[in-house]
Amino acid sequence: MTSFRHMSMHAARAKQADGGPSIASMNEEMASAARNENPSLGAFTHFIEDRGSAGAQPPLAGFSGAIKANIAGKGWPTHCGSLFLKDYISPYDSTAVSRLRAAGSHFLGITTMDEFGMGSSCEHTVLGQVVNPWDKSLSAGGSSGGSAAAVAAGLAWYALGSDTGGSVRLPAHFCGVVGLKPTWGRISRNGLVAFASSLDTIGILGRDTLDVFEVFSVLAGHDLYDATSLPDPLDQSPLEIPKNLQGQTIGFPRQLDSMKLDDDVSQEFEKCIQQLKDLGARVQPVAMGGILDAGAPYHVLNCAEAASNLHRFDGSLYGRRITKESYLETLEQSRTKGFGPEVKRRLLLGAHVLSGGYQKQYYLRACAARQSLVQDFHKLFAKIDLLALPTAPSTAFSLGSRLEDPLAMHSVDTLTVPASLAGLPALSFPTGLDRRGLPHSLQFIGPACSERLLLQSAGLYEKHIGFRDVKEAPWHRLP
Amino acid sequence: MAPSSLIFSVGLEIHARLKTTQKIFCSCANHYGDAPNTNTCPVCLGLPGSLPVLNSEIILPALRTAVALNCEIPRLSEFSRKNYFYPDLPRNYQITQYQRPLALGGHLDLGDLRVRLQRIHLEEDAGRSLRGSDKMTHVDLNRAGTPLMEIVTEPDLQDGQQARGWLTRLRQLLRYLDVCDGNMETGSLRCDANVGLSGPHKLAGPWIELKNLNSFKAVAVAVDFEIKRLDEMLANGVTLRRETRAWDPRKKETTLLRVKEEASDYRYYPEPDLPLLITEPEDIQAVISAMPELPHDREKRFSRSYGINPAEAVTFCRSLALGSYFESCVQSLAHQSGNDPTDCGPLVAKWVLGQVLEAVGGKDDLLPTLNLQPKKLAEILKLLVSGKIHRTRGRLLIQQVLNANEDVCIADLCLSSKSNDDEDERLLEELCLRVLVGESTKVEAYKNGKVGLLNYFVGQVMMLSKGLLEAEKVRSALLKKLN
Repeated sequence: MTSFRHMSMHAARAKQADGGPSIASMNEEMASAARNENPSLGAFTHFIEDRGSAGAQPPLAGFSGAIKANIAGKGWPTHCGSLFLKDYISPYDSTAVSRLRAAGSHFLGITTMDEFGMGSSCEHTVLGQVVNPWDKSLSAGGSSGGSAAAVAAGLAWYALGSDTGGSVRLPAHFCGVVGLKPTWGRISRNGLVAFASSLDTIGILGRDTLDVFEVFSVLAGHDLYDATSLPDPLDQSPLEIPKNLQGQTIGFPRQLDSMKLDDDVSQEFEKCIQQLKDLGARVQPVAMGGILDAGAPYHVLNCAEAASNLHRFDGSLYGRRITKESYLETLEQSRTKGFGPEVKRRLLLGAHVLSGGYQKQYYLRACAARQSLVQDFHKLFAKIDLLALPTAPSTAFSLGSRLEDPLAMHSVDTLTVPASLAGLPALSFPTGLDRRGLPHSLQFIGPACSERLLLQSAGLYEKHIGFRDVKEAPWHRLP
Repeated sequence: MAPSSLIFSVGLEIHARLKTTQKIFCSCANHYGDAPNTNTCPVCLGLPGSLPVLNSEIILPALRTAVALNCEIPRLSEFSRKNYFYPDLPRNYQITQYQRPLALGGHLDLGDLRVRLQRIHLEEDAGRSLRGSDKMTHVDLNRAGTPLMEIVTEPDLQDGQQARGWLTRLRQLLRYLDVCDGNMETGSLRCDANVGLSGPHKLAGPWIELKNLNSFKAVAVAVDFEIKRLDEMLANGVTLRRETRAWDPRKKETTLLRVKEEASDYRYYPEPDLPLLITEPEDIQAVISAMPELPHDREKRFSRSYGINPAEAVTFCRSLALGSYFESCVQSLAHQSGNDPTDCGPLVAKWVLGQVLEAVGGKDDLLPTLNLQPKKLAEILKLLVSGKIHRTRGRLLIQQVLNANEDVCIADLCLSSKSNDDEDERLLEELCLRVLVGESTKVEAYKNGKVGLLNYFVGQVMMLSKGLLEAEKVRSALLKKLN
């Protein structure tokens, strides 16, 4: 039987139009495959089989997606990967889910994630344990590891994740799929459980750029329920992959060693630069200013905002409550027992950097650094159309290899946090394989609202190198 | 106790609930008195993933207040998070305005005393915690997310009476502006007081914050109590410290709630979910153009146009309802009688302050639904002015209108009371004879020159008539009989 599970949605649609199996039947097979394979993969924590709205209307026409556990769906277990919310059922749909419903999408299941989005390897999980479909001893990346694994393993057509400092792009990179972080405010955050509000975005994972664009077109646009959603109108026209990249100026970091890349990542990146030139782009090295020093301000800011956003979890109205004599004791016990160690570490750090006497030294300085970074990007994009750099300094690492070393763990974020801090759109897409046969990816960062440009350019690259045909890929090794 | 040479200063912190239909960050009803937890939604409950969105309904009332209070309104203001844990605070942070409030400075005068304002800002209210009979804390989140304006004064007041007087003035203004109904009973207006030292003996800092002031009277009594308590402590050489104290209305004393040194660190920072609030000059101009008449101006106008003295003007302007009633009646009487409003004013004033206010038990808000409306009262007063009826008849007519279940025609009432005139004549005859016959000794004395006794006889008849007879008529009837 020919498997279609490696196909993109647009290819499957074409196949159906050509007399192939119906999308509904493809969904059925995908759903049963998901149930069979999930125990050894851990991509899903729950299967929800939500048929969305009746019928299979365009544009998503009955395709089923996987939704990260921090994106609210009515009646779904929006547990955020936390014991605290293990039994919480969301009474409302996030805007993202309601737009997907209106676009005909079905929903297969809720995916595994690092608790409240805090993690880069999906090892800070208490509900579920996900592994990389390419090699099950490796991390799937975090915090949207489950979503990326589901798409890579052919268990869902697309997935939603959240990207606060790289949590969609990094797992996309580790799992060899396409991952988009949109411009902050482009996709409504209503219903996305807040981690670091000024950094959080809902991101999209898909098998190729065209699929990601389709889901993006459904999700993006102003929302009355999110006061920070951008009012800019959306260009709804189909994505056109150009014949070449002529007329485009693409920049890359002038000082390659400032990125502290692993050797083979460095080599792959140089190949990518050449490939972009071959495709006709004007490729030039650029000064990055403070862009690659975004790690420290990112860490201060994400902890500060997380500390405040997670204040609401006290067990009084919802969530796991450990009842004691007094309100204060109940509060302490519920939070101490309900949150995992990584979350607690960040909450304490966050409270510290916002506290009187330290706010100036940490929080305000981080804010100033952020403003400076925004200016650096602004200057760059006056000269170039896109910035190209690797998604991470390394490819997928082994589970457990960085758990004891938070700094080593955070170093994997250095190339994803800059776009997060600046609120800019960024796309990660696979370009080749490393020595171990694991995916390499390239990252494009563009000015605000340039998602179309990122996806078009990546689409051409993707078409050119044919990464989907790579035989080592898990979608070609389906059981 | 020797009088203190210390000068105490009092500042107030007022929370006024804006009269909007919806809460500040969601579309739940802003309504008092509904069954607990029925006006809630994911936003005001702080459910995971929910986001606040500013309800534009709050902007005009807030700006109107800031303009009326002479504040400076910066172009940009910002919302902030105030982080702390409490059962009635769903997100365990309150969305308020910290560093960049809606308005700065401003003032509201109390007579000659200028009371300056520090700031006015917008924030959401928390829910209510109630101690149940089961010893558990019950939380009602209907109030969580309702819109508040926090108004903070400088410590320009000096004692409890002034504080009370100023609060009354503020509440009056808020009601005139139609931004807040100002009812402490339903929690639309809350007030904390800060008592400290100022003047040449100012000691660096310690302030006492007074809470649980549930009425304007409580504010006055608690502030005065605290001033006296502090004065005595200082006289005894006790060092003060910053404290938060609660007023106990039963024991009539303040008790320590917490020492300020242990105050929480709220870790304020700008609210990332809400954009900056922008107030353009055009917005302020629009508010100025549409500003209703303010109490001070209305008082001056009443005094000038309706011939009443400033004190009476202040009384009539104490509420919109009373002022409107008075004004409608004066204008109607002027129209009906052809007299000048400045001549009609004093007469109307007397009657409104008398029988009309009596009829509503002093509750101004009952005036609009009173049986006796201004135009009708004016009809009665017109008869008085034209001499067609006397004062006592006027009182009777008013009572009849008040007692009637439906609209009555004054002319009809007068006709039907024509027979009353004859009865009055008979009553007059009867009572005069009764008094003169019963006081034969005094009558003799009168006839012998003690003419002052006439007043006595008049008084006796008036007393017996229980106010139904006109004094002048009694006097002339008695004179006729005596001579």
